Amino acid sequence: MDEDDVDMMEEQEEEEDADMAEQQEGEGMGEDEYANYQDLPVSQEDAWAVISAYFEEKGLVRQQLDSFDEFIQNTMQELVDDSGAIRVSPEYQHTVGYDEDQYDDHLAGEQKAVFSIAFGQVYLSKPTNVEKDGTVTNMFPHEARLRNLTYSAPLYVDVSLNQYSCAKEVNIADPASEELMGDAITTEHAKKEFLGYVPIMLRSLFCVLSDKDDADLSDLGECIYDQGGYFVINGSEKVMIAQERLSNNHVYAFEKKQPSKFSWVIETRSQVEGSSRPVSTLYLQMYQKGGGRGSLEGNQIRSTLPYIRTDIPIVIIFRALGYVADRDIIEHAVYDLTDGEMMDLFRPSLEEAFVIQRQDVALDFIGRRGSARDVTKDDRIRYASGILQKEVLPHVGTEEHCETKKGFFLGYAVHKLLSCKLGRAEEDDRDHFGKKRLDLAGPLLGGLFRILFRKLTLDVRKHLQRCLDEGKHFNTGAAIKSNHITDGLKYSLATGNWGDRGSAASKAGVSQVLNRLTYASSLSHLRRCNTPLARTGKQAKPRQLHNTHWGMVCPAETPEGQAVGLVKNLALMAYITTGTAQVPVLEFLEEFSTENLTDILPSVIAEPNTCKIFVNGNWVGIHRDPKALVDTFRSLRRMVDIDAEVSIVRDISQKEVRIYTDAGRICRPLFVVQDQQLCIQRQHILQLQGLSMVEGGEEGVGGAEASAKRLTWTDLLMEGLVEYIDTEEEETTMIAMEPKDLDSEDSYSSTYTHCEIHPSMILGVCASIIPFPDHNQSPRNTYQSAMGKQAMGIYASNYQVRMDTMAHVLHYPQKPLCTTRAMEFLHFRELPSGVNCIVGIMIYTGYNQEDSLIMNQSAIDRGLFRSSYYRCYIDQEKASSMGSSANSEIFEKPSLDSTRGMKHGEYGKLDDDGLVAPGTRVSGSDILIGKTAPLDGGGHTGPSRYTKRDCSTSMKANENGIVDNVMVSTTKEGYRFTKVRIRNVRVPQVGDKFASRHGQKGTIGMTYRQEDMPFSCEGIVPDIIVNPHAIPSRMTIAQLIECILGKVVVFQGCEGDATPFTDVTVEDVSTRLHSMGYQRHGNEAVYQGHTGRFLNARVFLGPTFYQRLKHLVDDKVHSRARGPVAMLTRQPLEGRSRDGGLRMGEMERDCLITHGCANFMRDRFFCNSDQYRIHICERCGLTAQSNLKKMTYECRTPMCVGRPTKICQIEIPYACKLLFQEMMSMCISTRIYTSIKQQN
Amino acid sequence: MADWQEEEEGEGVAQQVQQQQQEGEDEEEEDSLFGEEDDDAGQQQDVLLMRFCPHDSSMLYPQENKRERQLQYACRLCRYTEGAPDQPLIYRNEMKKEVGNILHTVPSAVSDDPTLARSQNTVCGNCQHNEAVFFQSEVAQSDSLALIFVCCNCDHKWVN
Repeated sequence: MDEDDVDMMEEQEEEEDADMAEQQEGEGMGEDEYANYQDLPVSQEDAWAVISAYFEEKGLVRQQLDSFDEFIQNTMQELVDDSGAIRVSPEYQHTVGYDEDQYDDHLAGEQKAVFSIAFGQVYLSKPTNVEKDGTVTNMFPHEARLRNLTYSAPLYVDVSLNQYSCAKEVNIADPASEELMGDAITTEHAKKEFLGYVPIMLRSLFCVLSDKDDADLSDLGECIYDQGGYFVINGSEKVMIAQERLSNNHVYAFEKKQPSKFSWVIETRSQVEGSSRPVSTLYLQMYQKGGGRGSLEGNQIRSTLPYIRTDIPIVIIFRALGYVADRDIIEHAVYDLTDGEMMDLFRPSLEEAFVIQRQDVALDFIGRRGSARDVTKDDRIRYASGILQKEVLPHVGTEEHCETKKGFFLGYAVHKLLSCKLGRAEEDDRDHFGKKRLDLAGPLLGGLFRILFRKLTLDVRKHLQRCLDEGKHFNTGAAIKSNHITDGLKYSLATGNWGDRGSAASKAGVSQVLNRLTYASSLSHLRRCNTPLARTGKQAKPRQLHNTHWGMVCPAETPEGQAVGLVKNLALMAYITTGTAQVPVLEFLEEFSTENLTDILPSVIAEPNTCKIFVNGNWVGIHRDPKALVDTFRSLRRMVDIDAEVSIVRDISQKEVRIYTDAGRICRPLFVVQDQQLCIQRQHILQLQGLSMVEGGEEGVGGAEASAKRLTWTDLLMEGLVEYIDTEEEETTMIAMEPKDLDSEDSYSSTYTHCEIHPSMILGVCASIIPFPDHNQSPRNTYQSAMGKQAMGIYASNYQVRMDTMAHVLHYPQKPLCTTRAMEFLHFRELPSGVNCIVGIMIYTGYNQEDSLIMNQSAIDRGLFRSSYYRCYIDQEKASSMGSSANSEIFEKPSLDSTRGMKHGEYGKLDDDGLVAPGTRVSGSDILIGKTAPLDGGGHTGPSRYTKRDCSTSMKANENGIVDNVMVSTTKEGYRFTKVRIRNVRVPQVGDKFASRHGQKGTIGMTYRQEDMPFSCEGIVPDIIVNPHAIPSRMTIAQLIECILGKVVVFQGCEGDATPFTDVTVEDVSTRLHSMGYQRHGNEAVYQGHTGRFLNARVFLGPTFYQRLKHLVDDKVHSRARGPVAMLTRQPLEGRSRDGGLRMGEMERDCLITHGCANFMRDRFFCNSDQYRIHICERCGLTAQSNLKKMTYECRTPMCVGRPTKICQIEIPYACKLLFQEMMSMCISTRIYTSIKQQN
Repeated sequence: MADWQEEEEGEGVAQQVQQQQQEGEDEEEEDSLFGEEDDDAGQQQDVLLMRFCPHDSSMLYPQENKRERQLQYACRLCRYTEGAPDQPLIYRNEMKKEVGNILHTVPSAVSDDPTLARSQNTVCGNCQHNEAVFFQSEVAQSDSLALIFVCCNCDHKWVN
């Protein structure tokens, strides 16, 4: 650097100082200015204080934690309460020794004894572990991970056993019979009976880590950045993936593609909330005008009812529900009797049902078409009304006398169908995200727990019945089989097969092993959601990004290939509701003069101001001033008098107000706007930052004395400054993109209701790491989102004490020069996954073509991109099949004289305890864990010197390293258990894979020492040289901006802000670079390394953040000349781990055939595969016996025996010989005849 | 079951045939013809309603009173009949919907909708207020690009 440069740099620094001062103005100003500053409107920049408050309070996996807490705190108790009492009456048996008097009493008496078991309060303890010897200790997650235990807490329940006496004819199975029982004769209470172990989500309320600070956490062996949200099952970390489904109890209208019998179809998937009954779907179809003779008139509406074989005309269903008169039906379906158009459309339906004019006839009509046949009319009517009560629209009600409500709901569905047909309403959008629900750990575990608990109660009933029948004492503890719940939950979480073991209805892949490659990949995994849809379906719609995904689902982060668009990732601020009770909402509605459906005249609905009120899809009533209702509701919600996650939608065009309180809605926070002003004020921002002015004057300055009351996110929510808006409510809001859009002259709208907190929050975890993603071609962001998960970094701060099966850790990772604001919350600075490299985009020697790159060998030697690879080998002493523990396997150094079946590897590195010592260099197939199993002493093979069989664990054949750590412990069953961790340093070499943060991946094509690399006038030598051809077609402009900004920032000594959707422009960045004396676009004059000659072209050179991806050549190199063969076919094995061959497949074969190289074919497919020779008898064509040593050949086939032999030797593939033998075993003889080709 | 279906069919087919004939004849004159009908629509709308029997609330069907050679409406369940004073029209089939005709299906509360576009330089024909929300008709059948305006002050609706 010459002197001018130095001067320039100094100037830069001065300027920079001035800049910094300006930036800090807020803190460092005098008092009058401070007052002005406080009056400034809230800007986009200030939003970051709010976002920080959000993440500080919520973290990134709040949806998982809240959902699980909901399950533990409410759902579990509700499920136990809902299960109802088990009632059993003794059935006295004719067994020897029974109490004869009792039996006679039983026969004679009018009364019978009834025993009832009811489950009460449930209790959950902190996670504990019970050792083999019975000692109970508190369990910590880290111990569970190391010892392959399950991090779970015991669940207890209060049980009460009551004895009643009641009349014999009472049906005790009927829950309604409770009243007939009278008071209990005897009551026993069993307190806190053990019910089973429930796995506990890490960092949830019941987890021991929930209230620990960083120091405690690291003492416990936890990573301080770990967010929890997963389970530890048998030592492996399991995430539950959110499952997407269509919401229930919503009336959908779909237009049918023609040709079809129907023009429109209405679907309502009705399910009672929290019920285990399968969804009952109601269909309404509007028929097309049929052609030809015997056809239907058209436009009549019929419905498909459950268990009814044919479609039932809709009017008949109305009549069956008790709406007999035409006028009644029309009032419920059309509402407005002056609406001639709609009346005309409904007329065919009325005419179709003209013959059925009475309720009993209608019920009979339905009953006749049910499954029960040849029964009396009364039975049919009862059957039909049972179906209408229990099976049709169960969410409206399954009790008696729900007909009024069902009539209204059915009428509503018909009205929707008619409106759609008339073109007044549009077809429903199946992919609208507002109609989707995400099932998280809570609902999923709830469903599983319900099944398991029912199984448990069935067992208790069986046990009770047996006890009573046999006159034994009933012991609650013995009756409750705790392993139903323990094993059931563990099985589903461990395998991901959701549902009962072995049942067909289970979903696969619900729980997955948490990805621990890099910290961001773990975070992203915890925010993933899946659409259980056939991946093969070629329908594109469900995979496409929908408008309603804005802010909820990351637009970039989705896998490529079959699951594209089906697997989604939540955006950073998206939250999933846990579900709240709908009772407070119903009370609110009642208080605010909602008229209940049962109390209104249908004609009221048609009045212009009335509005239908739905709560969770169920029509509860009408209201005459919806605007006031919605406004009151919103203001109550902003005070959190109504839960903040409840949403209200005013659908003006359909005259509806819909309120949702259910679980699984996706929502996100927004700033509340009133009168074109943000509700949040400057003072709130200052309070958030701890610079409050609450007590007046000075303490705000410098923030030294942070005021006592520092605002939190919850405070913002309580004061109504921000609120959660779900996908459906979002449709009725007007959202400004940034605060400055609100009150400007050219503002787009004058009716804003909300404002985005920050537009960059639409991105997910992985996409938030990309600098300037708004300057990239969109698929490049998707590629980077996928690649960021393969980058090496520091995946957890406790990696030294973890024993993961495989782990990569990058040496000297750096935080990127160009950061985004969101990285702060992702801890990307603390646990980064890459290095800032000097990258030149240029052509140099040609070894960086086709996405390869040239790397600076000297930099590599200095430690660039070096990484450690850790692999764990696990083994445990198992009980041998013989049973007694004296016979179990033991860790020891197997000795050659007493152990059978020793492996080829090196046993010498084992210590006397049978384990390798830390620090030992191991390679090849060295033995790491020596273990022997006793041979069964049966001795049927006679006396042998072997008493043991070897079952040691050896290293993978093509790996090597140094023993890093050895852990010895015991399993839950008390057996010895060990984990051995091997460490191996991986130095970058030709073939290793690297990528920038813009979907630009490449492998090293060549490494050059510094001397051979190009250098700039300042002596800057690139670490990486990429080929310019990588840029134009891929349009990753952001990489270039990152490079320029990086260069600016390197000289200024600060971080560069690369957050998307901000006001930074390329022009700004390049001006800054230019002002420092560099070419404004980042180009540099460069000298050729080998010759030192000046290169004619300028080279784009600057720092870019590069990631080392986990695909390393060392894990991939593979070649084989000869090697192991499969036992059955004697063909070479497959796969690198088995030292297998490379497959020569059909297509390769086709190439050789067309090329005509027959000898090469023979070589590949025969000589190098399973060449074999056999002898055949030329007379019978079957295999002959040969003894090559004695040179005797004979054919023992009866027809050949005793006749002169004529044997010949042929070569065939071993697989061919095998085929012949298998055919022979099926009595098919294959005969081979040879002929010698005449040579002429 | 069989008879009642057949009965309906007969009528249905007859109606269909009639319509088709009409369509065929009117094809060229369509525009003018519909223009006329639209004018009538406003007057006829309240007349062309479904009528119900006062006894059993069932739908009344048009019938010919053969003796007096007059149109009458009769209940099919009881013997109730009522005359149809000076209204000979019993059925109308509109083939094309005009945006103006569907204004009554637009709820007046749409002016509360914050998501709709607003215009500050329109004048309401009813109250001279200058702010109105406007949107395109969602009715599928009308492929017109006409905008529906709803006054923010008096909820007066008009098409522009």
